[in-house]
Amino acid sequence: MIRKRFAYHRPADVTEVIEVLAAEGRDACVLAGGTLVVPELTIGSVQPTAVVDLRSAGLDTIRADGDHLRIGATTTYADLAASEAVAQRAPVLQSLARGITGGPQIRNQGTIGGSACYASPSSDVPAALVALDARLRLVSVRGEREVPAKEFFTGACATLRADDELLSEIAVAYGSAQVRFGYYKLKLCESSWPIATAACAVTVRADGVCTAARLALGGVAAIPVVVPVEDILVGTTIGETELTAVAARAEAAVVTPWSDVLADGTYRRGVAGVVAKRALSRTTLPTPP
Amino acid sequence: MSNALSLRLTLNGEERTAIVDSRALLVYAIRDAFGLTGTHVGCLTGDCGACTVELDGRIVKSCLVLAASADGSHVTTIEGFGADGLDVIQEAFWDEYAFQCGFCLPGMLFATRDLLARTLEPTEAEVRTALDGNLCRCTGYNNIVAAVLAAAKRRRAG
Repeated sequence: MIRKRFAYHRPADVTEVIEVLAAEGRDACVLAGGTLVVPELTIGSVQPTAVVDLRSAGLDTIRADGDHLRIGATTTYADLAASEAVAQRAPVLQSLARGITGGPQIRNQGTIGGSACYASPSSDVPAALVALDARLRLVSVRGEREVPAKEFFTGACATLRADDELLSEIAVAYGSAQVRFGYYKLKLCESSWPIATAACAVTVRADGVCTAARLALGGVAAIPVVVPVEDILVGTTIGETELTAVAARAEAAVVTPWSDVLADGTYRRGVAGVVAKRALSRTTLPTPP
Repeated sequence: MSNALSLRLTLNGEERTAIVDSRALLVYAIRDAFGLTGTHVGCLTGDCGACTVELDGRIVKSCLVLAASADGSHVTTIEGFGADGLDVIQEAFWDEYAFQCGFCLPGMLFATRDLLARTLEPTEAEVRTALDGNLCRCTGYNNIVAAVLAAAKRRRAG
């Protein structure tokens, strides 16, 4: 049994959620899939006075809206993996979702928004959102705002989300049909959190020449590391020379590496280059609509 | 602050209600309030899979779910797994010696049924991926993998 008592709220829509968050303030804990928060409640490392359960808040839909894919915050990994819209517009999220540790159960339970807000340094979602240049919509009774992923993550388990704000959805702009996505995750055993991840989005013209590229590393530092790769890749057909240069650049970009029981910082920095290179050499085109 | 909650579940096809604390985890509500002890409490961190049940048609780890969150849901536990006697998956586990102490078994069976609902011709790699959220300390997994493949074969044969 969770030791400390809390008020349990299960609001029926976003308006109710933000009213509860405004009233309960910083002692409220937002519950999405529960895979991260519930064990913390169980061991008592978080002791909120209120739990705000998003299960009935209607935030689990994925919709294609104009030139954006809008992913509800409580969309599960299994939903991402099964979504046609995600396959067509942001397949890197499917590679990520299928590789989430913990079995089909965790992929049925864990949510993209929950992982973003928890912002664990060694989790898959933050760096992928940065590589996709995603925008996170934060709603409160004070109003709403959209924050770019690369600004949202501010530290280990820290984000720009204020205590009274709800992450309602994640918006990903459609790239051109020529954008290829790549994802690679290094972990040392099946049940492990990632040691290092790399996600990239690369635009390649019909003649094979790269015209734009973004790459972000996860797991290697407290927040996702953006690796500047455009000056290496743009104008080239991306061969072994460029991959080697990207690997060196990736390693150099890890200035303050993350250490935990799984791997120390020296190791993480040491593998950053090869992880970046593998993501880049595994890029694929989205499923055509 | 009142923490008592009237929890309503369709549990193994039957409408059930119990008074539980709003801090209770679903796995404890199933075991203590409803008296179904086939669902096991292992790690309480979502790692081991011994508490796996089916919640509204999807397999979940019930130590990661507040009982209150499941209010109004359909839950299937191992007691509701086979309609009458052993299911074909359970028989395959029996025949292949796929368990020893049995602690992980309910979770393994649910993970297997989830896989076979998606494909009746899984490769060995697909079987291992399907089971990667369930830990077993006895068998070394090989007999479990053999049992899942045998269950798939039996299902294919009708």
